[in-house]
Amino acid sequence: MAEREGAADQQRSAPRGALGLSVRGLTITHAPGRHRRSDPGDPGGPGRAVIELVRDVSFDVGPGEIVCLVGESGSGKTLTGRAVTGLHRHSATLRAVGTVTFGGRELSALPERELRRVRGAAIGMIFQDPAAALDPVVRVGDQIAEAITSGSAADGRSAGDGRSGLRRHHRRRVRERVIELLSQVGITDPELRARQFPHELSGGMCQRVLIAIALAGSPGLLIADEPTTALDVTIQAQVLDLIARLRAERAMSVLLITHDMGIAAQLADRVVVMYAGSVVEIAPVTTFFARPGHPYSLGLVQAVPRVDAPHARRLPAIPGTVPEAADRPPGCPFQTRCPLKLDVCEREQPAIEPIRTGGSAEHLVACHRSAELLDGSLPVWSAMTPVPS
Amino acid sequence: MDIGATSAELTAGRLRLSRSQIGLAVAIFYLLLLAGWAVAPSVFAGGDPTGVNPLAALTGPSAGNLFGTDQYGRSIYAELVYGARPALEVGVFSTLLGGLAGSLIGIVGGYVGGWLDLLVMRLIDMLLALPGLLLALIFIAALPRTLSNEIFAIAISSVPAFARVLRGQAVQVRSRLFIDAVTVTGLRRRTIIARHVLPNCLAPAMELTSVYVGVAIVIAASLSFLGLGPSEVVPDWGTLIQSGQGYIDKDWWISVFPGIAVTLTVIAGSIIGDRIRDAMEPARG
Repeated sequence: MAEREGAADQQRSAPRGALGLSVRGLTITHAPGRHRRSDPGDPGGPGRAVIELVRDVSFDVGPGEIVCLVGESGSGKTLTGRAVTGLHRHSATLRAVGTVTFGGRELSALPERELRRVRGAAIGMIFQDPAAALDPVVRVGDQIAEAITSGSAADGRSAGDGRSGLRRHHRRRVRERVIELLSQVGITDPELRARQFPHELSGGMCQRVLIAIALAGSPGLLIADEPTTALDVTIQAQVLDLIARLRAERAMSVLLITHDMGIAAQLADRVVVMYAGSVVEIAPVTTFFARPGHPYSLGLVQAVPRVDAPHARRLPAIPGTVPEAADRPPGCPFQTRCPLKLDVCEREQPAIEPIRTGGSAEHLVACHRSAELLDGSLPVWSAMTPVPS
Repeated sequence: MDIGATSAELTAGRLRLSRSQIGLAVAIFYLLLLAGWAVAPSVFAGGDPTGVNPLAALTGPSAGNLFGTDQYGRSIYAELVYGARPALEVGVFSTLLGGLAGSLIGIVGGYVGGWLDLLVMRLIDMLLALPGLLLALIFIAALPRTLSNEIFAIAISSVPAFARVLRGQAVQVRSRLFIDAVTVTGLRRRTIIARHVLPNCLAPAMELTSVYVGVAIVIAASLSFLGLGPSEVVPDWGTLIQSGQGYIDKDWWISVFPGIAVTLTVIAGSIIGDRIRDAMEPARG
């Protein structure tokens, strides 16, 4: 525990934590049926135990930086992203401890009323299923307008209370801004699209609309939760380009949640790897793909299909599956699938700390054997890697 | 390719569709007729519903008196026509009032959740344990017998059903992704309820409203039948059914035609409710 806090201190002293997003010691637990109305489907008994879904997660997103949060399904990426905006508070069974700081304000300590203002103005969020993230019975333009007026709530109220001329003027400004936002996210014929309902738009267009909504308050941080998973490949590339372009234009921080290593390689400045609710590695993107310091990361990197591979090979896969949140082993969460497992891995969860040899302070790994791994002396996944066929 | 089977299926599908369309057309026609009766009874009735004529008492249906006459010789048809207005008033206003209140309770409870939801819904459960008629009866028994009190009593009896259905819908809507999305844009909770939860709960609310207008008319008729109807309403469907009770073995038309009018209103309401649900379903994805 002490070791872990030491690592956190080191990260806290880093300059990027001050202005951007900083998550410290975020732990999210699930306690079913405690404050909830009675649920007949609830089995009771052992299922009622408190489960740690996300365990002691700490990372930063600097101003204008794109950080990719990667990991497989069930690793807690999405929950982490939602907790940054306080969305977990709307679920009666989730509890979060730890701190989330953005732009110098501790969001996790804000009451809901104030957090609401921060959400509108400082943080935008887009989702995996763009069609489901738009209200089906409200016109696209109205949904964007709503985000604009909620972001500048004081403005909207004074105009609304004023004479009708003022209100009309205000309404026209909002409309102009809606059209402007739609064109900014690359939607052609924005006047028409603003009048349409979400079902009249394609998935890619819905995602652009969501991005427009997220940008309405000119946020300093965009949280993108698997923004392209539901889109086909060409649209995916367009949406990713859009995110990259907006980041550059607005110096906006981006927390991009994805399980696609290709996206991480293409967009990220830094990569944060999560496994079974814990962060196992944080590294600048080039370092991450060149010298991953955790056996899980190495498995992820090697599992990416490459067209430039020297010879045909069977794609390596990490054997086994992620343990359920309820029965994660004590010690290192990855031990059940790790080819490098030692006795110590079963007893102690490795702290996340800067690698000892030949790396920068930027490269943090939570593995008892990362030093040996980075030496290159351990043939980690070779048991299944190149199978010439 | 088996084109024969396909076209047979298509025909079957079309037949089914057209049959339901006939039902809808009949329901709409009947409700429009009722509306006409209610708006301009003198045009349709062709006579005075209170015109007592002892010489023509208890005559059966005929060309002159379409649905026959009652024990005082009044035309049943004219009484039905004039009774349409109070019946519809009670049906529509009590449903709107009770539906609005019940929907608000249900939507707020379902969206907000927590102890508020728990408390309100247990109260609603208690009310649901009583049949609507009994609930209305409890209130009407304690109040002066006026039309507005009857509307109020029946409105209260419809609150639990609306609250229960709309709560379920609100809980389902709350869990949908777009609610998270608008929450992240920083909207207030009341704005989210008004602009996003409420519109997405509209389909079941409209369906229930359509069904409940008929139910409210039945409750009103039942109250009148029990002698608890509003005293100022002179031709009243429920009173008419009750007054024919003693003659049902021979002079059946006094009770039967008003009974049919009430029944048809309920059926028409439920047919239209079904159609509203079908029409709204695709929009809800």
